Amino acid sequence: MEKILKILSDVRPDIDFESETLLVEGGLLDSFDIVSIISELNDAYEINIRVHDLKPENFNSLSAIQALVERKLSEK
Amino acid sequence: MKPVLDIDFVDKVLADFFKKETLTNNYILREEYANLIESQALWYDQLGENIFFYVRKDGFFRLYYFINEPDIVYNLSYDEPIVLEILYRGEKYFPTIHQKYWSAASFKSHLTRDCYFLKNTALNVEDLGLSLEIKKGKSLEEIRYAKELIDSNLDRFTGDHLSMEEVATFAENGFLYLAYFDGNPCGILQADFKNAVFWLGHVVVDMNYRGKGVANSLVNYYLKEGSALGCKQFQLWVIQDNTPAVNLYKKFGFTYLNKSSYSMLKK
Repeated sequence: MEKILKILSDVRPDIDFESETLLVEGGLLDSFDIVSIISELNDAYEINIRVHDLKPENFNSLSAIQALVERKLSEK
Repeated sequence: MKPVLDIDFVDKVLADFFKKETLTNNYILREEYANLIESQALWYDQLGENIFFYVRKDGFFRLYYFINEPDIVYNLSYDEPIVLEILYRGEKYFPTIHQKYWSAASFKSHLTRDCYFLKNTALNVEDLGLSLEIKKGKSLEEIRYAKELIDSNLDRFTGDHLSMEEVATFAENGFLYLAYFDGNPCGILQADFKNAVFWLGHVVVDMNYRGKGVANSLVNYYLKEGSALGCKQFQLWVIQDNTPAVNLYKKFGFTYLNKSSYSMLKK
């Protein structure tokens, strides 16, 4: 969780990722932020998050992002 | 260049041409693509494994690309200017490879803009003073004045140029502010409220009134308004080498948001 939180905070230092639960649907993250986050997660965890994973529910909160990373790690 | 007629084509391009190593400046959401197709504003071109989307704007095209074969130079030639904009996360991520590719295709560096933010909680409204009279623009005359200032002072390719209708809508929503000096209008600021963020869209000071603290008063007013509206934070884009503007925003406490935009232009 700490590692993901660091990646997210590097991309958007202004957002409190530990408390927000509508990061995408609330408009806090835009598509550029999501693409940046995907790129960082793919590099850090050597996973492959693709365009079809780009659904709001996968990026709305820290826990949703963590769940996505874990799913991708289990698919490796 | 051919028109894109349905969203299935866009889906296929994203699935087939958008890979991990693809050079792309594409951050358009699917629904935005659908809107562009509906208004017949989306076109495409293909060169080998490279695909290019063109969005029709007023007097120019905006280019989005998916480059999988960077060795193939795209020597496009159209009558109208073409602009491309690349988002990146701070200097260490500057899109050098993109710049090199498009320089070879005769594009020239245009503008670099940085995104700044300020938390509402970091703001002390009591400290904000106004040295000029600021009013919300409502009348047709005020809307026209704002539109003229924007048209004559801001970049038409990258600055989200506003139509008369859009300026009127901001005025209607109470997000257009005019500064007055001795009873004469001397500058405007247009804001927008989106998802608890109070955006500073455009600020322009009349050439004849520069150096009189007009921008300072307008930004003061904007911050007070946003604070009263209960926004979570303030955000804006500023041209990187516009030092007076950058310094003004920094003075108010704005800091860089790890987000920049580099644009290139072919006329």
